[in-house]
Amino acid sequence: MSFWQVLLIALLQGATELFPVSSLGHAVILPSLLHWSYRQSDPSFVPFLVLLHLGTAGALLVLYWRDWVQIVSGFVRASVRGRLETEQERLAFLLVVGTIPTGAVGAFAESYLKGLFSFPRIAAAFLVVNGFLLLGAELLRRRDERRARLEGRDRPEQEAHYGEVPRLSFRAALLIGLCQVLALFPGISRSGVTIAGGLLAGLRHQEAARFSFLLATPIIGAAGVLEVPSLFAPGIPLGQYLLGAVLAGLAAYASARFLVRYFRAGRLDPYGVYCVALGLVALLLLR
Amino acid sequence: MVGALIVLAVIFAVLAVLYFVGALQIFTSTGTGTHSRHALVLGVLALLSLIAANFVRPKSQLTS
Repeated sequence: MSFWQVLLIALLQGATELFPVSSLGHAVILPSLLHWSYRQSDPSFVPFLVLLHLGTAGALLVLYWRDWVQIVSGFVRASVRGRLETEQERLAFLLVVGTIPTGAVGAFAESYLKGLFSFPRIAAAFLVVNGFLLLGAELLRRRDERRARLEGRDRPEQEAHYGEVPRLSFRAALLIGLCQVLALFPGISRSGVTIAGGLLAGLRHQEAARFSFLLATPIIGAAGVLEVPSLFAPGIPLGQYLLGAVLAGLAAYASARFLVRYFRAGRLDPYGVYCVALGLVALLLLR
Repeated sequence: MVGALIVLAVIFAVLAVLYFVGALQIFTSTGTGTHSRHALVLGVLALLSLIAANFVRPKSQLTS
């Protein structure tokens, strides 16, 4: 990859990682659409993507650092005590339950999943699926709003009917964690499916996004840390990749702040339509 | 329940060791050598099983 390709992919990945549009899908599809000469099956491509994700995880840690201090200390306290007493301790264990499925499947199915990165058409097809998942989640939410006689009211009033993260059940956290497993396929958005899962579990949009971002941090961070040794293989332009990671982190920070505001009243629909449209266009062009 | 979780923790720990020393090659890409990632995940699962056992164990109620 050239220097400018590294920077463009980094910006794209950072900006789209937290949007429910699959950054990985974009990073796999875009180079093929632009006829860039490098191959996604190149051994340096996955470490590059993982380093970008590490930048994103860093941005999320900065954004939610107060929460993370309380989550980590709450986890240690509750683990030793053997009982949950505070909301932060409960949140810590909700995140643990939500992280286990992706951690386990990601580690054991990694070699198979890495192979999918070589097929941009598969990523494009999954992007279409991702779009329909987002639209389906909003369809179910609207149906629920109609049942609760919330139609016609303004959005903040509708959202106030739904719950916050600490009220989430452990079963619901596991469901959201299982949704996150789908994001191991390029083209399925991690934040998209976890926000959709949060909506199905009865969370407000903004709270579903917050839980999604918190859930992302350990998985993205761990995947990044585990790939660090592969970055020191010969022939990998580490300086360029690190610069890319910083850019990705800055873009992710900006997009996270935007999304937290957007989901006060916004819905997943525009992102669903975008994913279906881009996926279909990519499928047509990537023959 | 506590016993089952402790047994689960031991199984995860044993599997972690087997992956780490390279004796177990199921679900791996290389087929040979040590698999520290698998070992780490199984180690974490063993730890979480022990924490879960600590949660479900009967707690003594102290009365003043």
